[in-house]
Amino acid sequence: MIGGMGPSDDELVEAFQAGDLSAFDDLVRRWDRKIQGAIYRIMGSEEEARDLCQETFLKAYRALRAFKGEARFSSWLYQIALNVCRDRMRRKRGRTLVSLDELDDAGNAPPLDQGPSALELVEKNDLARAVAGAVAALPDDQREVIVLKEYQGLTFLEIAEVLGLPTSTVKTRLYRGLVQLRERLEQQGIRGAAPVPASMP
Amino acid sequence: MQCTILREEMMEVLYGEADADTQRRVSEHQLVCADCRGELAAFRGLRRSLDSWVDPGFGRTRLPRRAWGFGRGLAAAAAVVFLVGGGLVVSGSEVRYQDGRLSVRLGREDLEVRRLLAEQEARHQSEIANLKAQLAQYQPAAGHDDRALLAKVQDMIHDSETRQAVLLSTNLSDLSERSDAQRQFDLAQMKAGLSYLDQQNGQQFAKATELIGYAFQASQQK
Repeated sequence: MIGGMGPSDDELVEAFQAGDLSAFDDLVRRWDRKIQGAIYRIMGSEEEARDLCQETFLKAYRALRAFKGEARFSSWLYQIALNVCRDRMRRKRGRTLVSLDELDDAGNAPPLDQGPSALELVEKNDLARAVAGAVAALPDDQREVIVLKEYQGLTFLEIAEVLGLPTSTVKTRLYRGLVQLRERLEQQGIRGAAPVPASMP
Repeated sequence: MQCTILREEMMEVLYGEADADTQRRVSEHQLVCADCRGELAAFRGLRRSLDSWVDPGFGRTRLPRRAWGFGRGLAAAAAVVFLVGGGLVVSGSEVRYQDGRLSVRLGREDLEVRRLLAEQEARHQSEIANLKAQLAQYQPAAGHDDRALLAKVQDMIHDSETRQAVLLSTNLSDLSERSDAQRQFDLAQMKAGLSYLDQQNGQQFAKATELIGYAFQASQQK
């Protein structure tokens, strides 16, 4: 953790590695809401967010002794969370057959979700529901960047560290993701944005 | 294509991470490019729309206890023991080990039970006192004579001793007779043995004499 009172993430990690198990409790308290929020927006399900957040911290607990500090603890934690999400999506896609009728005009499958969807959870707010649906319909790589940037507030450098990509790639993915979101929302009659210029890819 | 090159810089400006040079380049480009100007404005509007999707309000993540390791488990066990012990004390319960038996009493001792036990104890004490009084009042039956009884016992002892003496004497006599008979039998056998030896010696002497006689006759014939 940068700034603020109390020990930094690095100090807590160091304390944990020295045998102070309660330091991990502090790390969980500090990061669980952020991680749950990220997973929620990637998976689109509140129930899965809780489940996968727990899995993320369990994996982190087991691996933290071997953590070398080459990346920020938060980046390392986000990496674990994203891998947990990707694993879950792979499993879901492996056992879910999507009919051609279910694909939208762009050929994308509807959001994969088994529990109450993000759409259902925010059904009283049309705009929020539309945003949740548009984010869920993004390709995985673009959705990850949008979530980390827009909802987690990570810098380009931090996202690059989490994803193991150059910052230029991160910015490009972000741009493409924003363009797609804008198009999808406009298709649903949400006019908060100007039309997409014809010259843009 | 300049717009494509500026795409990354536009992202930096959009999210407030552009340095002064980048900020200036993007601003200058927007003055001459309506598409990029409109796109940046559209993205700013889009970001406001994205803000509408808020967190549902997550609770704290609860990890399974196994994740906390042995130390925490031990501390939890100690806390449970402490709480149970404290609960027993507060509730007036009692754990007692006496004469190799463990007894546990949960909750405070019932006053009714305590009263019944006191009544029973008083009743037992009263019965014991009555028995002691009856024993003190006990008198031997009329005509009872301890001396006569003692004499009778002594007579019985004397009779028993006499019978034992007779029996012993009889046994000794019998033993003596059997010993004498055995001795007579042994002497008879010894005599028979000696007689046999005498007989053997006599025969040998007769044979020797006969041989001498033959030898003498032979010498005479020569």
